[in-house]
Amino acid sequence: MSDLLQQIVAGLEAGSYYALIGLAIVVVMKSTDVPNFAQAEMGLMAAYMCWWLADGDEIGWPFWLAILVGFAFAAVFGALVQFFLIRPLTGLSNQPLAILAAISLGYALIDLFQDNGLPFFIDWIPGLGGGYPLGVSLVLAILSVPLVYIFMKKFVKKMDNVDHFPLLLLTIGLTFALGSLIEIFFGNQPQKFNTPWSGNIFNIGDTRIGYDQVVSIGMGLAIAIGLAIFFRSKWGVRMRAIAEDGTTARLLGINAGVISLLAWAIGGLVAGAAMTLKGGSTVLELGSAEGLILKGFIAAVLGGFVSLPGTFIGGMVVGVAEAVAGGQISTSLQPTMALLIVVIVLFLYPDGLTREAKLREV
Amino acid sequence: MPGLEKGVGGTIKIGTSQPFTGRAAVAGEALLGGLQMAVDEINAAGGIDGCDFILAWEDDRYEIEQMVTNVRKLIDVDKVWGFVGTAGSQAIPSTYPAIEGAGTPLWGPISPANQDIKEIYLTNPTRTEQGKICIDYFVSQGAETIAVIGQDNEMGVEALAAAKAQESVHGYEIVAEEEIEVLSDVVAPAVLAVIESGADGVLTALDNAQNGLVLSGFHEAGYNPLVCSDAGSAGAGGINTVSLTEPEAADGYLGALQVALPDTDSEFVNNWRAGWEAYDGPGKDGAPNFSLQTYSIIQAFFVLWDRLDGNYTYENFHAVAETLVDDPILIPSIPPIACGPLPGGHQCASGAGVAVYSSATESWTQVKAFEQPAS
Repeated sequence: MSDLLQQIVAGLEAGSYYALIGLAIVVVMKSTDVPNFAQAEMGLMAAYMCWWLADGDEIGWPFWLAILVGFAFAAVFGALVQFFLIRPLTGLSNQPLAILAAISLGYALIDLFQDNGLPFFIDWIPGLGGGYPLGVSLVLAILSVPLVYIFMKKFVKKMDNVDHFPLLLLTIGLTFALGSLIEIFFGNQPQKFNTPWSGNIFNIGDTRIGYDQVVSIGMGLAIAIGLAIFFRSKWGVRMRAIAEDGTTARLLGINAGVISLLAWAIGGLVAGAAMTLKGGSTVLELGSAEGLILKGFIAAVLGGFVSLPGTFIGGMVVGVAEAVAGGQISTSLQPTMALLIVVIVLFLYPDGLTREAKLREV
Repeated sequence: MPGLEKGVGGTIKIGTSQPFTGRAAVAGEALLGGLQMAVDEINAAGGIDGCDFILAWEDDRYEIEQMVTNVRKLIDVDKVWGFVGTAGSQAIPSTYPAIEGAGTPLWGPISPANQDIKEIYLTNPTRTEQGKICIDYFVSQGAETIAVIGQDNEMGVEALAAAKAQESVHGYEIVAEEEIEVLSDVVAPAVLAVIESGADGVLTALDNAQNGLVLSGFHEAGYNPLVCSDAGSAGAGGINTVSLTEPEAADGYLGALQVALPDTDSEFVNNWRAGWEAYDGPGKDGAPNFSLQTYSIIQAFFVLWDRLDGNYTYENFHAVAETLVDDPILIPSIPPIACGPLPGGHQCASGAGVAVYSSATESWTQVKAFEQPAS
């Protein structure tokens, strides 16, 4: 009996990570109607930020300050992704993307002009070959910024008819880009992220429970309840309205840009919390997000991509089922449990586990 | 065909594909560094029989598709004479058709086991053999029950094969066979199952992070079996695994050795250590224990090159390499390289050692010399 209890606790812990990533996916779905494949990777970025700020060999800030700043980063980063990358593909202005591209390219050109002079196709012009001093490079780069901006504004059209496919591709591309960025900024070695509760355990009967398990499960539950309350608020209702029918919602005066920005910030924050909790309980490594995003999507599928309780319960069910099947039957069965559950649930409840999920189709 | 005509020397380009970025970069960087350092040294010493060497390398991120692309590029574009030290047991078999098609020799620390391909020479003991050595050590310490935790891939298959092979030799009982998904941090079900089994010895075939989590899980439960992993999985001689768990949990952790520990006090290893400290080329940031591995392998390649007596055709390379069984190449940091003819002869090295980690001294100590597995 204690073995079963032990497995259930372990499953609830893993399930809380699945549930939180699933919730982040659903929050973004509710506002932008796009499945964000980069959600776990965005969370991993924030988790690495928390580790980097808190680790004694890095910045070494007090743990809670690092968490606070890291979580704020998670939310701001989510908002920035929406502002610069998602907006043009959701019928909103492409101006931020054009500005970002122009400034980024300008920055890169400073190095290019310094190291290599002008690109090969124009460096044949007498006097233009070879590198330039910083001042000259800076002027050339600044001069190029407006040209890039105009180019981007003209040729990167905002999409008036929102199509999910480019958005989907964008989030997949973002996953790879973020993976590389994490490696560049934080290195490629797995990192142990020590928390105040790391390694501490207590017993209930013969069952050992780690404080990190309690924190993960508790935080998962708290965030799920918090999100459920939020979606009953004025802003939450607006968010759902945008997802259901963006055009009508806008005609009713709802600012789709702000709502979408808010949703991506919340999604980033929730994913950041998930990956930070997981990193504290296990380790932080480049592959962490890869392993989790699929389970997050499975949780979201079980919630019909709409229902927060359904997603939370779905994530927990998957986690517990994996752990119990692994412990009671065979660990060989563990990887297939999640997919097995999806198949069964979709057969029995095609719209997801809960009533809320069905309402979307009405 | 990049093979050289008889008697033609000059500059010899050798290739390698390593994971310089991505999750296996800490090993890949050092594997490259060991090769580059040895190439720099041999060139500075005047080369071999009028030949100097260039190392052409590509990053595969530990991804199968990228490794295949790299190998094709190194063959077709860079025209490498052969490959040395290429690592990545999950991906290397995918490159065999390209290597076989071009006839380009590959000299490397490859697992899984020999597939009897003319061009492939395996210079280190396989994971299966390392697993057997771990289990022999368990038995020597009185273990009567064994558990295996492996990834759900070739690594896990090799570990289980080792446990089953030695079962008939030693007569112990395998009490748990557990799997963990690749890249998964969910190790609890496997850990709980092994704790329940009460195994005396646990052989793991996982990545460094998963091993760290398994050690933590055992420690938190107050369960202290002998735990041993293959060299790469344990990061034996380095901190790849032991830094990812609490110091007390890593205390007594065992790792198989394919190559001597980096702090071994021998002339060969001392020279390597001095060279590595001075080395400032690509791969310098990697884990030193992996650097010694490729450094040793390429030294064996250089000895073989010297034995070619100026005839650098592939035909002569194979002819000379397949006679090493009669006159093995002896590099002090690795088991003798004794390749023979096919079938089976291209598994050139056999035998492994075992090292134990001490959290008190934060160092590894060899507790079992390089030996053949019990049979």
